Amino acid sequence: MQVAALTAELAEQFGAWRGEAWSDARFDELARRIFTLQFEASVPYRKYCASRGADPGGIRDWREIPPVPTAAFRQVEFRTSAGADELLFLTSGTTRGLKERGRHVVPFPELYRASLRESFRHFVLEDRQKAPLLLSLVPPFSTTRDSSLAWMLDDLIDAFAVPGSKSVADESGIDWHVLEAVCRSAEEQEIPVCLMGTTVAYAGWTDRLEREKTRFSLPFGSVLMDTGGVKGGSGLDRGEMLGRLLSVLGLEADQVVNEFGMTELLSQLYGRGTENPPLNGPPWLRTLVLDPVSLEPRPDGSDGILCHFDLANAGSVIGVLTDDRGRIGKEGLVWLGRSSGAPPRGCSLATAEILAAQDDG
Amino acid sequence: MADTALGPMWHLPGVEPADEPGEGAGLGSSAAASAREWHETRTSTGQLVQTPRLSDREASEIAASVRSAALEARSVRTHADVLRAISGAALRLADPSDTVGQEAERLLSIGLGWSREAAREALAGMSREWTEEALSALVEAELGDPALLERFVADPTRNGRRRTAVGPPLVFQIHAGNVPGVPVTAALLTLIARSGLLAKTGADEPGLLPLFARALAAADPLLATCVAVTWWPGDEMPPAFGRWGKEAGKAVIYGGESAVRAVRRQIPPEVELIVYGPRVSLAVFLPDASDEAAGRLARDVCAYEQRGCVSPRIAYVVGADPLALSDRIAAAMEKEADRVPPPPLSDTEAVALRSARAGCEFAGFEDGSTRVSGPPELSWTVLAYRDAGVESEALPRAVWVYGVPSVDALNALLRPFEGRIQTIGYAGREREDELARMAARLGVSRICALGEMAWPPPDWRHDGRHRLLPLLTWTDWEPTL
Repeated sequence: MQVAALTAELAEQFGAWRGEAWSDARFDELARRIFTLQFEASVPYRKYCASRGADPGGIRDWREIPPVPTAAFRQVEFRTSAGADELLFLTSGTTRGLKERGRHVVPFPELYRASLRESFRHFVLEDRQKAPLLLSLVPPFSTTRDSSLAWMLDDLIDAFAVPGSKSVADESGIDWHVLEAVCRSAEEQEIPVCLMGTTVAYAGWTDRLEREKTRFSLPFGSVLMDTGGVKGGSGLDRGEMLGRLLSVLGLEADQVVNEFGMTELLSQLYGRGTENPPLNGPPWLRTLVLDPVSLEPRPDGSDGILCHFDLANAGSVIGVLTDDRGRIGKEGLVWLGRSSGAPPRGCSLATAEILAAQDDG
Repeated sequence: MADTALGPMWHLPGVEPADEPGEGAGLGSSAAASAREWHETRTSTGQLVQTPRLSDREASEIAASVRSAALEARSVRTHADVLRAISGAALRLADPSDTVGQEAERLLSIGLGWSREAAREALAGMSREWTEEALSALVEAELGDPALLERFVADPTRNGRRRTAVGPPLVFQIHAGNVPGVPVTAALLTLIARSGLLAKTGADEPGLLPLFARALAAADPLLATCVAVTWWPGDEMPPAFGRWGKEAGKAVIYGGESAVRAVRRQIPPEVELIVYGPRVSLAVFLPDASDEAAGRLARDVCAYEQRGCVSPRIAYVVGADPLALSDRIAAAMEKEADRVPPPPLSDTEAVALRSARAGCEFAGFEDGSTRVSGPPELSWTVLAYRDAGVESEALPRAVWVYGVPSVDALNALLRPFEGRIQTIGYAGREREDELARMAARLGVSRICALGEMAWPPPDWRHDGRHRLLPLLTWTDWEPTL
């Protein structure tokens, strides 16, 4: 059971992380060991690598490990083994008329837990001894069954076990009264709160609080974590909305954490501030910026498409080539948006667009 | 610099080229200090395009001057004069030995990133519609007697009645810009209808129509003042150009759903709209299709860099192995890439192509039911699926190949695309009658041999409709007895 042993070793290393950087050699050694196991265990991944002339013997550096495009998750399940308590997460809905949802199998939830908890402790709680009250605006996993975000927020509530922490949402939506009552009581008892929700949920709350002229003065140490999820073209200005929400909640801009996650990645990136802040993640997640055509790495500071190597994905596939554009700056990774499908071409139509239009209508 | 100098990306009677920013070049030059303000954009290859911002008054004056020029031309130019002048000017765009033709090539290579070969081939292909002969054939096919455009002509179907047909003094056109040359053809039809033209070009290819107008000015200055063309950003019309929409008798729109919806909102309901909306085209290999048909498909795919609504995106293989055929298509695409090098890809296109390839590749890992062909640098892509499907994307030099057991099955598969299919190109004869009947049922505007899809004859009915007739309004004269 090489896979289980390596997974346990990784979980231990993640758990021992206290914010220090990892050397490239350390990351490389682990990445190549995982790649070897994934190559051997996953038939589709092995075929994919073989068709690119890549195998564990020929890889000189983790950067040569073939990353799998996110589109592949819609077609196959990558897995190194079956786990007794394995999880299955699905990507959200349809893109460009394609009906399949991406599937990410997680044979070893404990590795996911270790990555998630340690990153959250460091980037969101800033290694404070005492955790705040965690309030999730996302329905619990038990009601969604396939959302990695829901599972993640549930797990954080469990992990930090601060009395009163919970999700204030269910299938029918967010219970604003409960959310506001908990915030009010936290304010009165001076218990810091960590709010965790999507941008859309916060937009709804902002409108409601302004309409009802409700104001809070959340205690020092409170955090507002925004898990994103705004689609381009929705007309929602995230920075502007968060600015309004902060003023109603009595928070400062550095109390906002932008959480960037993808169903295909078990580690997350975090940035502080309202305006597309630079993102940073744990040392077991490394991101390359690639030339979209040649897939050659581009130097720091240049725009390109993002390719993540996430060791927390040891149970599926560590290299994930995204459709996201971004650049690596001095302060971290700058996310520049998703490149969604073919650009419009006048009167020349893709059948996918016709199908998508019919789905909408 | 002389090699890359290009004329303005607009032709607006009354607005002097001296107003142009920089040194008289609309593309690739920077705005000089000038009283005039400019609309700016960049083509997909990053070239700067600038066109003048007009005041309400200027826009109205231009519309009034184009209108009066069109009315004057009706009385002092015959149909034959018009045909000769406009055809002569248009054909110069496709003549590599003419300075106008050389500038047209540069427009396509600088604006769109096309290779010289692709630019020449596109211009040569379009110019097949621009000869006097082709234009006369179109007029004759749709109207019968071209004299109807000049005067009352006795109507053979009803004793004593005479008829004439002419366009409104002003026609307003909005172009998509995905296929270069289409705006020129549309301008020719408008001038044949004896209308004045107010046109907005597409941002990707804003230059050919103004270049045509300048060539026309050299041949017939009066006719050239019947054309005003420019570009402005976005689907929303600046208020000044809103006047163009209001003053025109008819409006013609080429483009995608959002552009069409935006124009519908902005044009007064009394202005008649002629819409050439988004369509997709398909290829069909019947069971007895010959091996060389793959080469003809590759030609249709690569023509106009697959930007047209007549460009095939999907090939259906009826009753044969689509994976085996996809190898032949791939070989032909490779050959085509050597002959006509493709333009560089945008980042968005590269990401979408790679994603489409990955989807196809992984869909077949379990059972070998798919095959991806194409070089790593993504210059062309063939995605073959053994089973029937309908998905495709508007990506450059990319074709989806699906197997389908019979024409009947194809008919069922294509039902969701009723009214949205422009052209079906096919190879083989077995069951071609059935295929043609299916095409008619689905509202396909043309079914033709593979290899001919990109070059419809001049009297083809675009979107299944006439091209000149919709511009015309008839006057019947029943003389007093």
